[in-house]
Amino acid sequence: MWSDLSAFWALGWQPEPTAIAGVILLTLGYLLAVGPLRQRLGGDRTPSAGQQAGFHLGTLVVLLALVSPLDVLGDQYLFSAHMVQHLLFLLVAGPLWLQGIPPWLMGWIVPAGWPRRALRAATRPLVAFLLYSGVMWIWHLPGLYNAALENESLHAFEHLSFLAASVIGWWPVLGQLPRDAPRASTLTQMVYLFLLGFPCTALSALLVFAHQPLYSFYLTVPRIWGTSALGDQVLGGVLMWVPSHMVYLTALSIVFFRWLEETSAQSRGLPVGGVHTR
Amino acid sequence: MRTAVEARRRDEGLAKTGLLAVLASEAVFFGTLLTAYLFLRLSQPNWPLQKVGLSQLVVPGLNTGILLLSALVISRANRAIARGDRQGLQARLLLVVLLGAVFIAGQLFEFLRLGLRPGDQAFGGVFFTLMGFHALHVVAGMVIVILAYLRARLGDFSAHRHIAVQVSAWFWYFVTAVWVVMFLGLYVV
Amino acid sequence: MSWLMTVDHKRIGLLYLSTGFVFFLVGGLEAMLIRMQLAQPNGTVLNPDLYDQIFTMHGTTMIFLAVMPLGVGFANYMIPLLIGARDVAFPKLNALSYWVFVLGGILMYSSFPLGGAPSDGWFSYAPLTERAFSPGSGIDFWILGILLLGLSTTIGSINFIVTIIQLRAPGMTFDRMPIFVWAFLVTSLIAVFALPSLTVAVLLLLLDRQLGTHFYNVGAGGNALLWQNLFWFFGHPEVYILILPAMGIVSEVVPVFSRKPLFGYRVVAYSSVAIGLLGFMVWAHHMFTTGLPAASLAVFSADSFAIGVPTGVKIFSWLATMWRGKLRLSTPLLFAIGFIALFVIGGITGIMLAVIPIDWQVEDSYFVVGHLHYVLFGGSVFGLTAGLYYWFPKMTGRILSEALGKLHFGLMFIGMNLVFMPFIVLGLLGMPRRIYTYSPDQGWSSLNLLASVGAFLIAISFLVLLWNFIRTMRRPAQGLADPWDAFTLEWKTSSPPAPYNFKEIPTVGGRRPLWDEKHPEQADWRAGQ
Repeated sequence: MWSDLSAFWALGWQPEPTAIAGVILLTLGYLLAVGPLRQRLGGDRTPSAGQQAGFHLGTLVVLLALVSPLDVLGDQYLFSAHMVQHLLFLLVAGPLWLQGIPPWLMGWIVPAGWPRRALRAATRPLVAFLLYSGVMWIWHLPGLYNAALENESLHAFEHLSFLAASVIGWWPVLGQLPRDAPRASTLTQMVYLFLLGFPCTALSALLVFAHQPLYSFYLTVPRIWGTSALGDQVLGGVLMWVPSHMVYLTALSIVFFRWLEETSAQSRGLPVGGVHTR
Repeated sequence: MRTAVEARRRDEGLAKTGLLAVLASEAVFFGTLLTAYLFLRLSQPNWPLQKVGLSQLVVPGLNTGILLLSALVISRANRAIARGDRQGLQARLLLVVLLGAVFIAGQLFEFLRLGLRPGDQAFGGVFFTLMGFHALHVVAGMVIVILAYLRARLGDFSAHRHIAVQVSAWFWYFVTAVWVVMFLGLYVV
Repeated sequence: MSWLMTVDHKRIGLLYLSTGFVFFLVGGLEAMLIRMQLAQPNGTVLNPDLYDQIFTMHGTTMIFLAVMPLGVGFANYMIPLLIGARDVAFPKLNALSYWVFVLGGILMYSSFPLGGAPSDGWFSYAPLTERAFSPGSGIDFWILGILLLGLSTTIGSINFIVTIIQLRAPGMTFDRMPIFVWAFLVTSLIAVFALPSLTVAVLLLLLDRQLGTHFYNVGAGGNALLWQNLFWFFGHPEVYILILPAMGIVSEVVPVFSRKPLFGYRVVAYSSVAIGLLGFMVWAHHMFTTGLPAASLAVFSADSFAIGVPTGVKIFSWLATMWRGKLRLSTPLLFAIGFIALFVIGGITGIMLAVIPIDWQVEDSYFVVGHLHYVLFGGSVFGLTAGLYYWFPKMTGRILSEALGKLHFGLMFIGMNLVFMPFIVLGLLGMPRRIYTYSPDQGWSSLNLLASVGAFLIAISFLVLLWNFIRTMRRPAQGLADPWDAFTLEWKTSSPPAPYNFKEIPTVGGRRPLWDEKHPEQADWRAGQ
């Protein structure tokens, strides 16, 4: 195991200029926005320390996914590693970013007019579900998947689309434009999170149970660490299956208790006990 | 005491929730059929059968267009009655039924043209089953729309009371959406 | 007859309960036949083919024609009362779902005289069930019956989902809904999402058998494992459909007979939801021995462990409710306690089966049969019986005899352990399931004989119940509205309730609305519930 670990680090880091530049801009932009520029942008409250830390964690995760040996591993050797990278984008980046951007800042990022209208349309639960699942599925079509590994610009587009899908997909639960692009009701959120698991299960089941490797790219790479192309694909499927579900279910559980509390609070105004004529 | 408006709104709520539950069940049904198809396809080392005559996307493509058009028409029908336009409602409902019939005819033509039979290898069965169940749902949708049309003729609907039209529309959108997914799954992918 | 045309949920509930009970007795007779055949080695009570039909119909009957309808029967009768409504959302559909169920049951049983009942086990594995290997029409009857029963359950489930969501009394938020209602809401949602998979599975089988398609024929592009995946994607959630209503009943009975509110209401409600969700993620643990890739075995094994957690939560909650409560050891509580004890045993054997190496040793042996009967009989049947004794006064205005009830409990509890604990041991000793006989030198004879004696005890316990029922019904009704001094709204109505249920729909201020009314100075809402 230790030899594997040192082999992992030996793959080397990939200081991708565009990725690093993007991350720096994002972090600087955020720090400026919640700091010196807050009043100028019309912000009323700074996000809490936890929220800010969450945002930066999201950015850090994306950075690491793109420049650490994980990136090399996924792009050149292992399907499962590539899967981890994508999972970090879909399950971690979007939620962490969303929770750290307060409504006033989101309102500045997405100006009024057609951008906000488009966002509102895209983040309605059904649309968001289709976009999130659609992006996930489309990039797993063998033709497109292989092409993205062979073409750098397409690959970048793929990553951007995952990040965008994550933000849109998690918006109904974590969105931050309550007036113009509101979240779904807590009840809808639970149904949404439940259903979100289905396309993911179907896809991961296909990957786990396939009898042959589906992505010809990984038939051309050198095999490392005693894996076979098929075994690697199965592992990727498993990684897609279990962690995704844990994330969706945990989110659903949190929303469930939030929902129960909401329903309870709503009814405290009504007269108690006794009989009420209907 | 509950007013008539409250009672009607409550009943409309029941109808909407009921339809949602029905569509959820049907969605899982079609999802399972599609998954079964994908499962079979992936567990065969060679699946040459899917290329049997399917390179011609003209007829199914046309059919897709027809169904999408019919979805638009029924949405217009819904909007018509929301404005109180009873004539518009009836005309459009009838058009939807007509388009549905054209779609079914197109499906029959496609199946005969392909010359596939249910017993031909796995793909014949898959094609027949998926398309067949979808077509059954289109027919069911047509029946629902016809019933709505007849009720419209009898003057049952008004600008404030037309839940049956809304329900028919949702069912029709569902049937259309299922077709789009199936079309992509069987013909394109 | 008014009963044929009724759309009153209470009558439909009674129809489901009585029909379900009749099928339960039929399934029980089938079990008795099996036990008679297996009581001794080289048994000659049933020939192999008939034996196969009997065990297939025993499983099919108990699951689809007995336990499910009994749960639906209680739900039908009680849920509108528990939520303060006048009836379900769609009363006519409710009646339809009952009659479709009856039709399905009749169709399945008509297979016996018309060429033989299905004989490939209650989960009908392909390709054994293909025309080539099962040429008779038994499987076709099974398929048609399943389709009708699936339709009945789907309609019924949609009805309950809409009813529970839309028709609760004012003030009854989800946070105040009785746990039985929670349990049945989740049950109905599970059914809506799981049944289509069964429908697809049997439809594809029917197409294979009748139209010559090749979904499950390996030689022609089909796949035998497709059946297993489709079936168990339904089959596992199905077992939660079977157990959740019983758990819901226990959650109603234990607080009332402990004179304490349910401990950890929100977590118990959540655990029902969690069980429902996780239940969809473990289906392949029925397929551990089919050569699945090792990685997937790990996934399903892990998920199967996980599902023990919400169940454990419920157990702790029930125990915590009884702790320091003023226990009344009446029959309903006895059966509830029996449920808890037996379900824990069943659950432990289930967790054992989730361990892959253990599963590989005992799969398709009597260990599995023992496990499933501990959870289905010790669980579902005990829970449903608790419900029977608890709600009998509400439905009939009479209370079943306590003495006979305790006798029923004692005989059933002892009998059940005499049958199914030997099964666990037999499985570990290597006895495969579904064999029609065994030879004397296997060393299985005495345990099998013991099990058959236990089955006989169970049968007697049900005769005791029947006697109790007849005797009680012969007496005039006392019509006590609230004989148990209970907590929830159904005890506010007369016994049996008027057709309209409540003269005035009550407004609810807490989780124990009737308790709050009866004891306003100790009302839950004062304690901030």
